[in-house]
Amino acid sequence: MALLLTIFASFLCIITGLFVYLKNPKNWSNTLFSLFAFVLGLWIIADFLPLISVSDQWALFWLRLNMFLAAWLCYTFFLFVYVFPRSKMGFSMRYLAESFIFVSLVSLLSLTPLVFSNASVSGGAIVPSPGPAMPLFALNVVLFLGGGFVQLVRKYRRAVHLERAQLRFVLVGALLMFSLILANNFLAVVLLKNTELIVLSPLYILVFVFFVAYAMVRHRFMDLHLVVARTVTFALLTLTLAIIYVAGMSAFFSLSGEAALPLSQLLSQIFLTLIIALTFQPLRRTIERMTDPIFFKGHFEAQHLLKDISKTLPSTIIMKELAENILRIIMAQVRIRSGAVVLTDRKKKIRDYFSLGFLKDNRISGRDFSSICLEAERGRLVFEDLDESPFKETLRKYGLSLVFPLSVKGSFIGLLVASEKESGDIYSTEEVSVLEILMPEIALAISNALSYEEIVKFNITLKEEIRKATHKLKVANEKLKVLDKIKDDFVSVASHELRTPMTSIKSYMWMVLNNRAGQVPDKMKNYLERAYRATERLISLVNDMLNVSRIESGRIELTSETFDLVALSQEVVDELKPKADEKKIYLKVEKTEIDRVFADRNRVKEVIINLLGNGLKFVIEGGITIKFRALSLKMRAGKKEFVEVSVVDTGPGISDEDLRRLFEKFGRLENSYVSVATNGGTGLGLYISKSLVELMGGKIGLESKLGEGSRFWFTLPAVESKVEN
Amino acid sequence: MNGKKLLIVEDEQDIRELYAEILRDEGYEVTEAWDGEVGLKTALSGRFDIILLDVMLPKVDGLRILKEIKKKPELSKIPIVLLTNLGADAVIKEAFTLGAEAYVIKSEYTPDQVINEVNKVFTQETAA
Repeated sequence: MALLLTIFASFLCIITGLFVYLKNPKNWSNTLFSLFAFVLGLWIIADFLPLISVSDQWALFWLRLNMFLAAWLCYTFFLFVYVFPRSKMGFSMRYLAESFIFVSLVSLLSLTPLVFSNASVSGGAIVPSPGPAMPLFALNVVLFLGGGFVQLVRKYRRAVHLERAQLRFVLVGALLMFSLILANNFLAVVLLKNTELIVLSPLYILVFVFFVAYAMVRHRFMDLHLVVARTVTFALLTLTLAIIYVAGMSAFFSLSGEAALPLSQLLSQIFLTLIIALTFQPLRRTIERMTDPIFFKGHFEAQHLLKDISKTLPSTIIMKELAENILRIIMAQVRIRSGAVVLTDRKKKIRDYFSLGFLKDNRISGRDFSSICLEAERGRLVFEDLDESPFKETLRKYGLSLVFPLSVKGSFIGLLVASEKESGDIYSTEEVSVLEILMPEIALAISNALSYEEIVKFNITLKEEIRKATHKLKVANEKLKVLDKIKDDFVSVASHELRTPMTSIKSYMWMVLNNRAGQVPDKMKNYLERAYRATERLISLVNDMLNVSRIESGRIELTSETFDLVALSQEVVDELKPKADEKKIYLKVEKTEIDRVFADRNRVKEVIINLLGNGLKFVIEGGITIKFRALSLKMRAGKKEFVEVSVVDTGPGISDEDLRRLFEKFGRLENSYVSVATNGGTGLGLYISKSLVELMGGKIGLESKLGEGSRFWFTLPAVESKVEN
Repeated sequence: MNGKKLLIVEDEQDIRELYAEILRDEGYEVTEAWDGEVGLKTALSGRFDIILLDVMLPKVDGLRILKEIKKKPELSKIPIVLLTNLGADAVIKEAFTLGAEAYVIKSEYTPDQVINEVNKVFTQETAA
C-alpha cells in the first residue's frame, strides 16, 4: 500500500515536472520547477526504499542517497523560488557556480560516512547516526530551504493579482510539505530515532502536488490549467468507468451465483475495458479522417474556414475579386456546388452579380428576387428548413439551398446564396451557423469594396467634370481673347474713322477762323470758335478713349530713353504759354540740378501736358510752378533713386472726397467751383496719366487743401548722371 | 513758287484738297494721288522733292509705298513725311525705321503747323 502511494506520488511529481517543462522549455521558471519536481519525485522513492531494503548495507546506501537528493532538493527549490516568475536566470555566473559547487560538495559528502556514519536496526526500524559533516548538511538545508522560503515570502508580499494567488498556494503547499517532511525525517529520525513516520512522506508530497495543481487550475500557474483540467477529467472518466465495471461485475456475480474471479483476472479485465473505452473516441476520429475523402463527405473545419475568410477579407478592395475569393473559399471548405453574391441598390434591384458555378442565364427575375430579399431580410433561409410553399418553389426553381442576407449598419446591401452541397447532403447546423457568423464581416468587407468603387467612380467623374470645366474655360477664354481683339480693332478703326471727319471739320474751321476764306464777322467768329473748341474736345476724347483702351489691354508700347525732365517741362511750358497768358496766370519751371530720368519721353510729355492743362483749367489767380527733387526710396531689391516732379498751383484746391476719385476713370470734380462744361475735360486725363506713370515704374499722387491750391506729383526712375565732357 | 515739287498721297478728299490748297498757297507745286496704287505709280515715275504719305490707304498701304520708294536708289533720298491720325507709336516707329523724315498728326496739327512741318524738312536739309 505504502509502496503504491509512493510510486503514485513520485509518478505525479515527475509527470508534473514533465508537463511544466514541455509547456515552455525556454522559460527558466518552468525549467527550474520541473527540475525541482523531478528531484522530489526521485527523493520520495529514495525516502521509502530504506524501509524495504534487504540489508543494513542497502538501507544505509538508500539513506545516503536520500540525503544526497535532499541536498539537491533544497537547492532546486531555492533556485526555482528565486527565478519565478521571470523567464531568465537572473543570476550572476559566479554566484551560481559557487552555490553549485557548495551543494555538490554537500551532496557528495552525504554519500560518504561523513554525514550518516552508520545505521543500525533496532526494533524493525532503521536508526541512522549522524556523522561529523552533518552540520554542513544542516547548513545546506537552512541556507537554501530557509533562503528559499524567505524569498518566497518576500515575493508573495510584493506580488499582485494572479502572481500573488499563485505564490500563495505554492508557498502554503511547500511550507506544509517541507515542514512535515522535516518533522518526519529530520526531527523524528535523527532526534527521536524513529523511522516509522517516513511512510507518510508521500502524503506530504501529495499535499504539495494538490496545492500546485490547484494553483494551476484556479490561478493559471505555469499556464497548465488546461492540461490539469483535461487530466482530471480523464482521471475521473477512468475512475467512473472502473467503478461501473467493478460494480457491474460484482452485481453479476452475486446475482448469477458464479464464483467470483480471482483478483488478478478481475484487474486485467478492468484494465482492458478501460483501454477500449478510452480509445474509442480517438480511434473513431482517425478512421473517420481516413474514410471521409473516400465517401466525399469532407470534414468541415470551422476554424479553417474562419481563418481563410479572415485572411481574404482585407486582402483586396476590388469588388469582383473580393466576392469571388469569398465564394471560392466557402465553396471549397463546405463543398458547395455553386454560389453567388448578389448586390442590390437602394431600391432593392440587382446592381451587381458575382457567381461561381451558377449558369449565366440562371438570372433571377425581378419579382422573384424581391420576394427572396423580403424573406431573407428577416433572417437566413435554409431550403430544407422551409415548409412547402410557393416561396420554397421559387428557391427550388433557381437551385438555391442557402440564402444569407448581407447588411451593414442596419441597411440591406445584398444576398449571399448557395446551391446544394456537392455531396447532395443537407447543410449541417454547424455549417449554417458558422456561415451565418461570417455574414456580417463579409457584408462589411463588401460594403467597403463598394465604397471604394464609388470613390473611384466619383474620382473619374470629378476628373471628367474638371476637364470639361477647364475646356469650357479655355473656350471661353479664347472667345474673350477674340472679343478683346475685336474690341481693340474696333476701337482702333472706330477712332480712326471718327478722327477723319473731325480732322476735316477742325481744319476747315481753322481756315475760316483765320480768314482764309475771307474776313469773318465777329458774331460769326464767336459762333465758329465755340464749334471749333467743341471739335477739339471731341478729338481729345477720342484720343483719350483710344489710350484707355490700349492701356487696359496692355497694348501700350513704351520707348524709353534717358532725358532731362527739366528741359521737357520747359518745352511743355513754352507750348502752353499762350493759353496761360490769355488767362493772365504764370507758368514757371524751377530749374533744379537733378538726375536725368529713364522713361518714354512722349508719354511723360503727355502727362505733364495733362497736369498743366488741368491746372490751367482751374487756376484763376496766380499760376503754376513745376518743381523737382530727388528721392531715394527703399524698394524690395534695395534702394532706388527717383526724380519727383511737382506741379503746384494756386488754384481753389480739391476736397478730400474728390481727391480719392480723381484718378479713377471719368473721375471729375463734382464739387468744384468751376463747371466742367465750360472748361472741358474728358475725365480720363488723370486716369491715363496714372496708368502711364505706373507703367514707367513711377507713382503719381495729389496733395491738396480746399482754398489752398494743389500739388500734383509723380515720380520717375532716375539715371545716375555720368560725368559728361 | 518755291519750285519744290510735292506729292501728296491721301485718300480722304477733304484733307487732301485742303492740304494741297494751303501748300500751293505756300508755293509748292502739288500733285495729288488718292489711293495707294496711283500714289506709288506717281511716286516712282515722277521726280518729286518731297512726298506726303498717308498710312491708311486703299489698295496699297502707306508703309509699303514707303518701303518701295526707299528701295529705289534714285528715289531713296526724297524726304517723306507721314500723314497719320493714329498717333500709334508703333506705326511711327516703323516709319522712321523705314526712313521717314517726319510725321504729321492730322487731327492735332492745325494747317499752319502742317506748313511748318513741311518747310522744316527743307530748312533742316539745307542746315545739314
